[in-house]
Amino acid sequence: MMPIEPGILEQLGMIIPLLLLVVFASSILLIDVFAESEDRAYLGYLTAFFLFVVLIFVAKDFNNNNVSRQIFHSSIVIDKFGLIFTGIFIIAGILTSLGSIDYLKKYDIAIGEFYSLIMFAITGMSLMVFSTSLMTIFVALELMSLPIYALSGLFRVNNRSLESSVKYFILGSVASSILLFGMVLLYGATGSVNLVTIGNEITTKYTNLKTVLSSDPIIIIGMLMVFIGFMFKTATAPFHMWTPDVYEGAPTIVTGFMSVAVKAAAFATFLRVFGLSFNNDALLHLANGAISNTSWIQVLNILAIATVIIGNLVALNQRNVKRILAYSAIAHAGYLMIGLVGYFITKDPITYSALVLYFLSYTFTGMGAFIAISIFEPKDTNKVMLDDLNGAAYKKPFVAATLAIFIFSFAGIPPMSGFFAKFYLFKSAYVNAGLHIPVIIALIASVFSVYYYLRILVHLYMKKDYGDVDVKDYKTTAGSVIALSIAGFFVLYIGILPDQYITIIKHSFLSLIGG
Amino acid sequence: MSETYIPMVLMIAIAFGLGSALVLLSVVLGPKYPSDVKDYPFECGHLIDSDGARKKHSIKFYMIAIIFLLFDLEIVFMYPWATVFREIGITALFEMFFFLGILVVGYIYVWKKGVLEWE
Amino acid sequence: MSNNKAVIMNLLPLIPMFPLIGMIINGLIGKFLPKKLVHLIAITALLASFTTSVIVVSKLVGLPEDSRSVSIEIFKWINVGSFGVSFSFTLDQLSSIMLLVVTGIGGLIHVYSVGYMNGDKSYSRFFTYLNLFIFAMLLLVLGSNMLIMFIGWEGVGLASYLLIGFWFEDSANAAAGMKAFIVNRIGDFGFLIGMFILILTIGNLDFNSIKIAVDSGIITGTVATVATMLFFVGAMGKSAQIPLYVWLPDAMAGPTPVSALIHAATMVTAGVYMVVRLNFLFILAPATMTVIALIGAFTAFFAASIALVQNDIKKVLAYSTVSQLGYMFLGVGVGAFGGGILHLVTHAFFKATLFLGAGSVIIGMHHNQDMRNMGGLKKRMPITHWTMLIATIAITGVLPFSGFISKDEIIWRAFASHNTIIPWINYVLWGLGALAAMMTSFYMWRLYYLTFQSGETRLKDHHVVEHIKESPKSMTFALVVLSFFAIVIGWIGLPHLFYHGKGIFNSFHRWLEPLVSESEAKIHVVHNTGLEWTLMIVVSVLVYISFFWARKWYRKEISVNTKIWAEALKPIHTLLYNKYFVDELYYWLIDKLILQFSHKVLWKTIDYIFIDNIIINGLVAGGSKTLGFLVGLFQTGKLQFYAFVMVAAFFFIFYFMTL
Repeated sequence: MMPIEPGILEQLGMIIPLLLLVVFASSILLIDVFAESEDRAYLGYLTAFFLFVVLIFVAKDFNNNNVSRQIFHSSIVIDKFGLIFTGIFIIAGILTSLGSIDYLKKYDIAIGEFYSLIMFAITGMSLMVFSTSLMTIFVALELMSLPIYALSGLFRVNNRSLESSVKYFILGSVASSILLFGMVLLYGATGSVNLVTIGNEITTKYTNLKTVLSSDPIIIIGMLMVFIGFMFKTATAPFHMWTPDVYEGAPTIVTGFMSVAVKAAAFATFLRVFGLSFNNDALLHLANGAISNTSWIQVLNILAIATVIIGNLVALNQRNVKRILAYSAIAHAGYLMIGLVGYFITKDPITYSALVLYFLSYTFTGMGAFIAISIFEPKDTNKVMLDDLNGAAYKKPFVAATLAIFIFSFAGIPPMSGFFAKFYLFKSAYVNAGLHIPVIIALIASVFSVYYYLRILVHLYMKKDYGDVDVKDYKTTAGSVIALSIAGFFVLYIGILPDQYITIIKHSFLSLIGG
Repeated sequence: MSETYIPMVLMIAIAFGLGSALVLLSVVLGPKYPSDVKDYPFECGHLIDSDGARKKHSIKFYMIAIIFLLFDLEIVFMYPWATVFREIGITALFEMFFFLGILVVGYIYVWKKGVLEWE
Repeated sequence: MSNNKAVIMNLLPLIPMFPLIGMIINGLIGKFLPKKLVHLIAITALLASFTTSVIVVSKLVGLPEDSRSVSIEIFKWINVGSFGVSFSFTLDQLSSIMLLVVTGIGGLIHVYSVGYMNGDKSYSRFFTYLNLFIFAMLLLVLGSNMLIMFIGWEGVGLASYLLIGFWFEDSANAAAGMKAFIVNRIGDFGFLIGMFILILTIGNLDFNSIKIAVDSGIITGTVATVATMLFFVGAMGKSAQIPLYVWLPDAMAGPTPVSALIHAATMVTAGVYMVVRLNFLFILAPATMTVIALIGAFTAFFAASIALVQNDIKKVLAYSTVSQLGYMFLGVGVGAFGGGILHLVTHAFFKATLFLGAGSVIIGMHHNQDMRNMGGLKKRMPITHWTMLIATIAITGVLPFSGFISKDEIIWRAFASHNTIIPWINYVLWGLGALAAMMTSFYMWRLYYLTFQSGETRLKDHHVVEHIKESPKSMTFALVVLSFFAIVIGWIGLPHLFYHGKGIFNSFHRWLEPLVSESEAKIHVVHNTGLEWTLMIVVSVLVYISFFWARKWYRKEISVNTKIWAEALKPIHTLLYNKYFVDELYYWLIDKLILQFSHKVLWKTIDYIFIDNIIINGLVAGGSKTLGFLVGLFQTGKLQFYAFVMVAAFFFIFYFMTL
């Protein structure tokens, strides 16, 4: 059943944001090689501007787009769900490119590829959330991953950065191949790469022919492998093992981008694939002895709980700020997983909007925090210990103040957006989805998290000995200040006035394909 | 469940058996005349000397290889395109232009970066 | 008609916007602007606000009586599940009165401040804070639900704190600011819990929804009693009632215009405004009403008695303010909501005049505030003298000045309203009110005579004495305008004894009628014209007696006669002069009891030894850190191991799913 597609020009018109991203990324690449001067700071501003232009197009599409249509032989669909996440990736990209200017200068790295890689990664992410076909998803996933592998090895002479890149690349390849194998199995079981068709096939099999499954576990294996592919990218336990090492070794600003945008992309695609293909109550809650005694919901729940616990507990012992934030990113992945499971159970706009709002909040908070940390990073070390932050607030009051905002938001303290997002997510998971035990455990774990979050602030504000860090290393120019101001503003704004965002997000739910 | 997978299991068994059998046979049946040169570790493209295995290779080698691979694959992609070009029509032309456009950007980039110069 | 409504809806959001813009401009770049521009911005903002207020209120008058309530939603603010709050403003009879008072008096005090603060090094900071205050006050007044009101409530508290501690270089001022803030927090706590109870009961904070819930009986008497008691705790803090009045006298550490604007005319009356705003809720709780009336009456009495003996001119006025606020609560407590608001309005004018006059005197005296050093300023500062005289007559309650009209209504209603809980309490309330009126007359005339009459100034420094002169025009202008209103403003609400029928002279009560008449009707009031005349005359006689008494004692040099009296009344004087030792009592309670208890028992024993060391550091931290360490052991850094875990996990999950 193939819906009638619009003409080719109209189809191209619908993917203008994606085309623009490719064009802009290519132009940055060309400008970089043809430019004479050694200074590359302007490329950061230019990238931010380009991304802003794309953001405007995305916003315009969001306002005009009321009917979601599958295009390009049903391989992608342009709907408000995808547009919202594209917006989130672009925002993360804008903050990254603005915040990276000082950071790259600190390491004397004047390479324009950084910016085009960021843009290519965003292209991949956007394409991935628009995809409704396994093939497109895989291509988009690789388009997203390859630039990130390269970016984490940006400091070619720094061993940690290299290690991070290689580890991420190899484990990422393992995950990709598991994902690909899962896709192959799904294709083999259903005869299609289109998510909708797969979904229909599965529904038919599960509702009419329950016994088929007992002799045909291929779908379950395929599903599990696809899930693992996404869980790897979202850093859900036990597929999170790479996260601390990679996050620690990668350049701080890239870590920020990874922990925010890549995670959001993987979660969004997870949601899309699940919603389109596996959106089947019989499949989800299947727990009878005939086929399996553990339902998907239970499995995902256990993994979510494990993620929350591991992330928060291990972070307690860390003294490296980047590692703390890495584990905190794992913990947040766990919270998000709880929200995602809640959405799988209820499939209502409230749990949906809670999940998406959390991403929005997390984008500003995470990017802001990593940009601020990157400013405090001592030169040429690619490492920030807690003691490096001692008394830093007295040298850079603005940066420290914004960092405090982000840390409070991470910890979920009102009126920062992190508080409301967490509250809304937990509330919807507890009340609407009835996930009592996971939410209670997550709440207790997030109490523990306050300890390591506030520890950062203790070093920032309450330790007077400045350490032997040179004041000159804390360099901030307009780019970082703008990025931090934007992020800080929105963290407060979403925290105080979340309502309009929830309205927008709920609006996008209506047109979600596979909602 | 089992019937469906019998061919697969058989195939795995044959593949594994054939592979190991061939290796085993060559060990058992093959004539052995060891010498210093034969025992020397083999590395394609250069000799292993006293610097050990950690010697750095010229980056150019990999660069050229990867770029060759990329543009080679581009050609591979163009063959199937050419066969269905008539059926799809003008759309296919645009799509290929876009594809080539991106590759040209990459080509210019590679050129300007000096990857193609050996010296 | 609908046109009027549209105009109101368009203009209403602008009113708080102007001071906000003024605040932002002065706050951000005020430091770099010339002084003239700074006060021009601030005053223009207020003028624009006032003009807009006049326009919208005149449009409101144009609407038919039953539709004089216009709400406009600026945006949806919070929307969580079933609980929603919108950021919206309401203009109705009550908020329009407050709107005019706040922007009108606020504007005049801005003008006055130009003269008063001239030469201060933080000129722009002062006007920034003043605009911030007006903005917050307008939010408080215009908000159409309790949460917006609470934002304004906290906002004025913040502005008040900033302005009390305006000269923070002196630690006493900073301490006074903190005292105000902390005492207010106690009240806010009550306010917050009250809001929570309302949310719990009706899931909403909208004034309209509360009214509907009251009418439909969802809010029962018990809930109303608990909620209103808590709201009144909030009002006690903000409006300086016993036992939370202690911050207001100390708040006089701030610049005098601030005392006039915030601590006399507008902010401190927020509690009264809140009670009247929620009159339909309060009327459901006779117990709360009784408590309000009693606390109001006692506050009026005690504060007046303290004011009798204070020597600092601003302290006298501060206690006078506390006392007058007591009157307002007495009024609303006995169900005279209109009377309470009328007294709020008249008080705003005459007390602002008095404070600004006092400020003028203080400037003239080169920042000497002790009345024992003053005297004979009548000739040197004629405008200040005349305006102060008018305001003094007004506050003591002499016909036909405004104070008489509003105060008389409250005292009469205190007597005439029937209380269902303690039937005889109206005699107590009336007695306290009347005695407080008598004392008011005494301390005000004492202030007047000590300052303006009684011979030449007693200041020792002759160099200063020669330089005492009238204040600049910007200050006297505000004084003259305010004192004019101090005479006439009461005429809009003449009691029915003097005026029957319709017209300007009782328009005030008819204006408020749609809001409060329903509630007022629930209180049984005795109607007895003869009795009302009698009581009015009795109170007036008491007022005149104390006037002559004060005149006799203080008109000339402090006489020997007075000193003999002073000796005889020494113990009472000491008691009053030290404000009943309430501050000391609070200090003892907090310092000796609470702090010692928290230090020795709570902190050193329970918290430090038990919770910190045994539970947190021992069990929780140790346990979780060990666990974290153990989990961390898996983080070997070895690639193979990571890949192994992934694959193992895959088989593990698969095993569980297909078992």
